[in-house]
Amino acid sequence: MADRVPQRRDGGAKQKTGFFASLFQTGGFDVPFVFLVMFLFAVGVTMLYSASYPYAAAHSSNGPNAYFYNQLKFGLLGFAAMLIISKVDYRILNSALTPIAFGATVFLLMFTYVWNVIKHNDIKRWLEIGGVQLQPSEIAKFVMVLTLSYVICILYRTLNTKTNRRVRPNIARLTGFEKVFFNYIDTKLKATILLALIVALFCGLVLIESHLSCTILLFLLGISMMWISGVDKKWFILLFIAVAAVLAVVIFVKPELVKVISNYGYERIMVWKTKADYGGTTRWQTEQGLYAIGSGGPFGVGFGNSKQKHLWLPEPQNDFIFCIVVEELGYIGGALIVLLFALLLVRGFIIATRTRDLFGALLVTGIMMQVGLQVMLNIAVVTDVIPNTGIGLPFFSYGGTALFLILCEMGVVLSVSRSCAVRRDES
Amino acid sequence: MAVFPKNKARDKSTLSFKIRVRQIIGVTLTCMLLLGFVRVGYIIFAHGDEYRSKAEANQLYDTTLYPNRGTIYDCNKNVLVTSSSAFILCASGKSIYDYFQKRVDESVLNDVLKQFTKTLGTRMAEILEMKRREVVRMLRSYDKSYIRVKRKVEATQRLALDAVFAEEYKYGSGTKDKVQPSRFFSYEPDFLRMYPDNGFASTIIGVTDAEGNGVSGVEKYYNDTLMGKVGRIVTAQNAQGQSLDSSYETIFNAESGKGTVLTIDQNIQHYLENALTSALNNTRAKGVYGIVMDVHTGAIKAMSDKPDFDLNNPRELLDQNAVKELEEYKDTDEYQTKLSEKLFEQWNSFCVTSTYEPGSTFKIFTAAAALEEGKVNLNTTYTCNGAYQVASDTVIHCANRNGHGYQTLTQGLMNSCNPFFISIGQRLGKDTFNKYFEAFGFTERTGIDLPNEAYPVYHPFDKMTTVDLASTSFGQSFRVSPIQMITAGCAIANGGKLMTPYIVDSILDQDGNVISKTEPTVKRQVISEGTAATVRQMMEAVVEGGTGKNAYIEGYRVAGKTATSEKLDAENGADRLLYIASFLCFAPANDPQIAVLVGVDEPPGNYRGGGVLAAPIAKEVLEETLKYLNVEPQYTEDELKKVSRVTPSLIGETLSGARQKAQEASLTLRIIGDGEKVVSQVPTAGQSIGENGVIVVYTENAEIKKVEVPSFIGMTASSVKQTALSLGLNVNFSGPSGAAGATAVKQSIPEGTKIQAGATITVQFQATANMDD
Repeated sequence: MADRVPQRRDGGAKQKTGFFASLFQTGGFDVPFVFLVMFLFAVGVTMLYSASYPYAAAHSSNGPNAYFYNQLKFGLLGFAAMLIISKVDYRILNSALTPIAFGATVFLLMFTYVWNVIKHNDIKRWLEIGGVQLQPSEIAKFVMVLTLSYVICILYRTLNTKTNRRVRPNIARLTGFEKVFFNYIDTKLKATILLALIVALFCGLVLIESHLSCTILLFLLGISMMWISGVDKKWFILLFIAVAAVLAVVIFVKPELVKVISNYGYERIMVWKTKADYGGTTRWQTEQGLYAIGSGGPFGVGFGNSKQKHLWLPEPQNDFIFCIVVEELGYIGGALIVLLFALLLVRGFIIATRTRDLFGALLVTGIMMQVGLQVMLNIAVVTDVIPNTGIGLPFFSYGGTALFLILCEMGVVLSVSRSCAVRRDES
Repeated sequence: MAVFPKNKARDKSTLSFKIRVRQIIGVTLTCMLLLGFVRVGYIIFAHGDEYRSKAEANQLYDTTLYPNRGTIYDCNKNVLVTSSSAFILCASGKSIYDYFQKRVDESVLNDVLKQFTKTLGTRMAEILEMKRREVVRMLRSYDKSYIRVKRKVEATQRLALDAVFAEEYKYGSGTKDKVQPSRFFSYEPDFLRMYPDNGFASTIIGVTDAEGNGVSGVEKYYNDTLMGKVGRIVTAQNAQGQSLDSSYETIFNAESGKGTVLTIDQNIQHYLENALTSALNNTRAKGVYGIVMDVHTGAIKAMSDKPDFDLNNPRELLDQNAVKELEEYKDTDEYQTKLSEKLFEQWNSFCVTSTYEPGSTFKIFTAAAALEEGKVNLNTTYTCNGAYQVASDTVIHCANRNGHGYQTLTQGLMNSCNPFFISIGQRLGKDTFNKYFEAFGFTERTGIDLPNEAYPVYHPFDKMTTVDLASTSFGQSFRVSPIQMITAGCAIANGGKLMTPYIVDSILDQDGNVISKTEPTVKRQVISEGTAATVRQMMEAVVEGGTGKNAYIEGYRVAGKTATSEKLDAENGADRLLYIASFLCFAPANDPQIAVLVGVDEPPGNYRGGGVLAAPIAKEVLEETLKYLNVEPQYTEDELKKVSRVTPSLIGETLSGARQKAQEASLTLRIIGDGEKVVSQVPTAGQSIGENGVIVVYTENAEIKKVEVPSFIGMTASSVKQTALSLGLNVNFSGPSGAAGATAVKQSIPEGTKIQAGATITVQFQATANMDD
């Protein structure tokens, strides 16, 4: 498709032709962003080393370095993937690939649910394929961003009309079923409903897997994407009122209602609300996390010197790693890391607003929102602001696949940045 | 194709898109920064201390470092008690469990654990001298990662344990799986109390408990000094109770305990203990006790009460009556309480923690008071008719029912005449008497540095009746502790100064430097020097010719007073008279150095007084002590006569010359052999032997003559002399050999021994007649 080929005006020095050439781009990527990612990754994996050491020593058969090595392995792979992806033109995603990815992910989520129910008679969020654990819900985050970006691109004009008159979506480059389908979405309301349905589908599928934290993340992420797509503000006001009402009822009036969705969620909410040990180790984990943060003081106990990581804080390498970071590096260290994330977000925002390509902008914003929301929710959990939902801190928490995926997403952001770097050269 | 619409609308659209992106990212950033900066800051700065202390309560644990307990020395720095290093054996039941749980199939896990702990526990119990069940129980506390199996594990035991721990135990039948138990154990430093001389001075030194704290004796009184400062290691631990590496440790070093130097002299203590032990065996009394005190300082040179106990095995109840009594309580909850009560009784020093009615020894204080007040003097006389009418309805009898007749004050003391002293008491009157009673320290504890000192029991001054005064005057109807008695006795010996008795002379630091030294404390001047001297003179007479003659020592002027006090409060139903026979003495009478108090508690058999039972013991202790202290003997003229015959040198003399020389020295000469000249003699020249001694001389070619020693026991002094002379032996007399009815009780060379003719045997005499006090 001709319109997807980058409009490069770089003097044609490296002008290449042909299909393969069309897949790659040669513009420079956004250096500050890469540095921020590298820096966060380096700090993250170092802190993981410190946080996981005693836990691994006690629990892993591969010794105290096991988690660190594993994380480093995935991290380096992820870094390679990031650099490669940054070279690939992200615009190849603005094609039939996206509906295919959407379909595959929805199928995978359903399959995971059904498979685990049949095979293990249990609800699980991961699939074991040849010894490798795959969490489709992790992939779902990116695929939802991708899908929404794709759909919003098509429906952008429709969504951004002032009145409710029919506006044909941008279906020029669509074919077959897609063309017929999107042709039908010709009013603002229809478009809004479609976006809401996509978000609801992802949330629903993840929720039945009992992955509450991911559901919340997907929900917030979906809302954010819809906000920037131009959906009428009245819907957000309505939604806000509805969510607030539901939360109020759930938290303050009848928490038992949560049991309908998930027993586990009910327990977490009760533990958070009553601050009591509600039949499990959840409160213990939160409290030990708070003890770790409190022990840090302004300057921390020094790298490697955390005491709380010595099995007091359960799984210190996972969701609660930020507590160990603050214990060891103190308020200053913790604040600096939050600041690093903030800078990453700001840089992502700059990339998103600089690009002339709506798809790229949406994609970058979505990815950055995913990172930002995850950081926000994680800190909210470990500081006991919201119930313990189990959400990792990007670049820090242990989890090879999650780290690999987020680095791949950073690769996509870099890929977008390459095209806006070109534009910057122009001007 | 650029997706944003071109033309003006494009810019507007682009603008609103940027704004929306900015809005949404702005909201997220704000939330993130609020949480990361404000919320985290709030936790750290508002709740940090609270959370940190909560965390530390989990993380930190203390290990106690036991300091080496201080050494206890006698006054010559001989070690009486010392500490040697030992170990605390610690085990981790949790690691035993975890180890097997990781390696053994769940179905057999319990069996493997059972088998392993049983096998190992049995072997450990043998080495540790513990009950097997107890050890196994500790090994099976699988939830504990730290348990102290035993304290005070000795180095040899540790070696044996290490050997057991290093062996490989097979587990799992038919498998090659082996484990070295050493991984489950660890040691911590500890100390062990060592007593070089098992039973020695046990009630003085005292016992320590399992934690190393003193529970009796000096160990208790000086616990803080001996203990030192307990150290701590504050270690961080993980949630499983395993300690983190040493960089998390804070060590507060233990400070070794300080050494204490007792006033006790090991040798004198041995003299006392030997004398008391043999007295206990001979008399089969309930108990005997004795104190040796330095009269000038109040320092206790020796103190003991038999039967006592073995410091290495203090928890074995030795009193058979108590054991029997305890059997009633067996299997009841009270058993442990009763047992520890009895043990504390066993550990207590009778001399300090018990009281008795002093009896006639108290008369010296009545006499001293009256002399000081001028109510009597040495010329005061009294005629005893055997009883004294104290009140209209109370008559107190004298020990001698027939009465002592006319006697001077000194004679009254020699006879231990009760009516005489009742009259003195009455002359003094209640108030004056009580003034001295108090001044001699009978109303207060002495303040000796030993635990559980007994309080005296006496008639309250305001309620004291004439009868009370009468009985108190001769030492009955009130109770004091032996330590009070000898302390008061020392006041007479040292010229009227009441001292505070003490048993610790100085405290040493770890390098042996003196940190503090006990200075003798004079509580008060009770009587004048002159009065004291007069009383001493009277007491000397008691030993020379009165009830105390069994304490007579040649060359040492002994002053003493006997007592036989009835136990008026003896338990009902006692089928015989219970009494304590005691003797209080000091020597030399003209310049007293050492005071000795000996008591024999509840002797069985025929009634025998303090002069018969206690005085010989005191004499033995006193004599050995004086000699040990190199106190110069001062012989009286009579004594000199007995021992001043110095053997002349007869070697080389002709027989006639020898005969003449022997006669000059008033010695009997015995000639062995038919030669002309003397070639050797026994005893050799320059020896002191008694009057009418024998000197045996040998001429050329004469064979050495041996004599079989006869038994002198039971003979009077004159028949001993005759027997010896006829055999050609020399005898030295010891004790009141000249007293009426005195008989030999001991001889230095046992009967049947063959010794050379002319050798000297020491024979000890004891008087038994006219000894009632």
